[in-house]
Amino acid sequence: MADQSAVSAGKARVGSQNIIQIADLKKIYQLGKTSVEALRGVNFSVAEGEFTVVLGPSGSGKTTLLNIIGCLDRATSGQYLLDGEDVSNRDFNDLAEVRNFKIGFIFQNFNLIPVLNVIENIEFPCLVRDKREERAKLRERVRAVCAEVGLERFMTHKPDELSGGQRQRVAIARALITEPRLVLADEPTANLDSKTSDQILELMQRLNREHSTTFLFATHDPRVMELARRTVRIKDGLVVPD
Amino acid sequence: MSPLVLMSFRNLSRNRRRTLLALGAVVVGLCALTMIRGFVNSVRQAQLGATVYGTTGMMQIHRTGYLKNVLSNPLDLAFADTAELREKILSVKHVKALSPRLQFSGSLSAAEPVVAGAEAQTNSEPKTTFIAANAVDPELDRIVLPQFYTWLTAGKVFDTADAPSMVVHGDIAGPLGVGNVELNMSQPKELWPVLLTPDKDGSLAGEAIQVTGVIGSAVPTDKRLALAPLRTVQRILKMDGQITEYVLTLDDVARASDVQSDLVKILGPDFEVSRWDEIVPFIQELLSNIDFIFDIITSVFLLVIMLGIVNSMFMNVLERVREIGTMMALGIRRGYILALFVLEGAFIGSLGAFIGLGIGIGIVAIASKIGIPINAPGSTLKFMLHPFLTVSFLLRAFLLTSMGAALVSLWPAWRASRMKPVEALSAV
Repeated sequence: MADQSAVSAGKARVGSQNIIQIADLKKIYQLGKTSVEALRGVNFSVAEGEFTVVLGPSGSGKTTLLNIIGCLDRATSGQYLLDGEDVSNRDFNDLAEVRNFKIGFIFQNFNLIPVLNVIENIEFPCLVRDKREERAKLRERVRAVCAEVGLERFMTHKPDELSGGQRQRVAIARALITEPRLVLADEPTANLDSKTSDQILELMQRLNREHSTTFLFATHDPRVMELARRTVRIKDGLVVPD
Repeated sequence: MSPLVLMSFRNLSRNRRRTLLALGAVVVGLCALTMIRGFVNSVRQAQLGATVYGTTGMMQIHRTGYLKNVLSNPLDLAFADTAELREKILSVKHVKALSPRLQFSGSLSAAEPVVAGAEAQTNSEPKTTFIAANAVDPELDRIVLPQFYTWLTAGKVFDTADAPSMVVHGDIAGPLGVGNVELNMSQPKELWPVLLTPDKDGSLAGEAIQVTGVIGSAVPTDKRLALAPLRTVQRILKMDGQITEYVLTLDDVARASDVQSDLVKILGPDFEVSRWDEIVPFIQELLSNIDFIFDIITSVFLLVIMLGIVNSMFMNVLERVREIGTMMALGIRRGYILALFVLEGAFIGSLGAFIGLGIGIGIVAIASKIGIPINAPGSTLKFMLHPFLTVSFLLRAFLLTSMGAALVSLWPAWRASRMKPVEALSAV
């Protein structure tokens, strides 16, 4: 287990507080009798409000790292502090709560729930909480987020009635409605044409600027890399120094 | 509306064909079960009705030991039919009416010669047949055993307890040459058949008696059955005021056990009080067997229905693995996923049960209106069955199907809820 000094080794670059602090993070997959080390002791931190890109070739451990940061997977060893809290050894429902309150996800394939319309998709993460927000108030916030991402005219549309760009806007709105500490975007522009990609990236950049929301991307898109204020490169399960 | 309920409901329309197939299985199964139940209910009711309103009554009172000795010397255990005793019995709660009866056996011999020229009665050979008869007061007996009197296939039942006439079973009437009731009634007394019966002392007593009616039976019964006027038989047997039993009808057959205990207390040890199911236990066994068979059929149907739902739910889970992963990423708990799929299963079960029961009720209502004629084994008359359903059956069927569907959906739902988010999200 990494000690606190190792955790503190990550540098805060924008805000005073680190949203992500990772120390000596390892992930080993057992494939039959073979062990595959996907992460071999990653040390890494992201400060509040950063717009960071994680880069790396296929098989570098990039997705594994993002999954652990997103509390979707657990590290084999090492320490991970999210917003100052150690989430390395939480159980499923605890992690679900962490994801719900602190992390917003934007997926490559949008991952909207097909039976829900735009409003319902966006408000979904807030409705599955134990303590629910007042419905009228929530709807008001959903409308505001919709306006912010340019979906006012599509609020009652189902996902299959929307274009790829519009779907990704819904996904962004859904990620933002919970006012998360961190937004994780896994190849958010991979399924979009270049014009739509530019619009989506511009939108995310604006949201990062205006709301100081921390964005962490995994991408191969050079346009995203151009916009990123920080790039973290991963190779063979380790963070390559800048 | 809760997003859980909303999603479960909307998910039903995602793969319409599959939902319709699962729903169809529930609808067809429930509809079939409802029709079978309606039919079984009518068979039970007809059988029970024929027994308690046509054969045994709901309850019988005899002198102690009578039922054990009924085949040897039933007359030895006769007792006085007094107004006081009747009053005592009728004072018991739920006893609606009683009919005094005198059971006796004997023979009926056609007079010689039988009228020549009549088609059905051309044989001039004297004929004798044995009978197992009940002597009754028709006025009282009609109240206690009303269905028995609907089984009359020809002629009429004597009007008074001292009439010189009797009613015999069709199986006796034909061979004995008294099947043509109209002809019987026009015959002079000298040509009436003779009723011979041994009295308490074993001496044969006899009297000419007119056969005014022929009876059939809608239940397996003794083909030697005959019905005679009570006072006429009492006179022949020199047993004035004596009877062998009271047959009782109650305002509710389900109260039979309570009434039995009350009567036992009131009448004391000299009398035995028997419920209909103690007198003819095989009928109760038959009804229980019908219920048992129906329960087996129900179980098989429900099993098939539930397997259909489980299969459909597993397909739903497999089709939505990535969606499950997405929901997990958004922070829902395992219980939520579980509830989502269980609710979907419950929706299919409830909706299917609702439609299936609705169609079933409609078909049963039509069948009830038209009636289903059926011949019971051993009976000489046709039953007309009128299928019907009870609210408790409908409620039980609905609850069992919807709750059963929810319960079996737990299996696929559990599998869905135990998925790892990272694996579910990477599913193709």
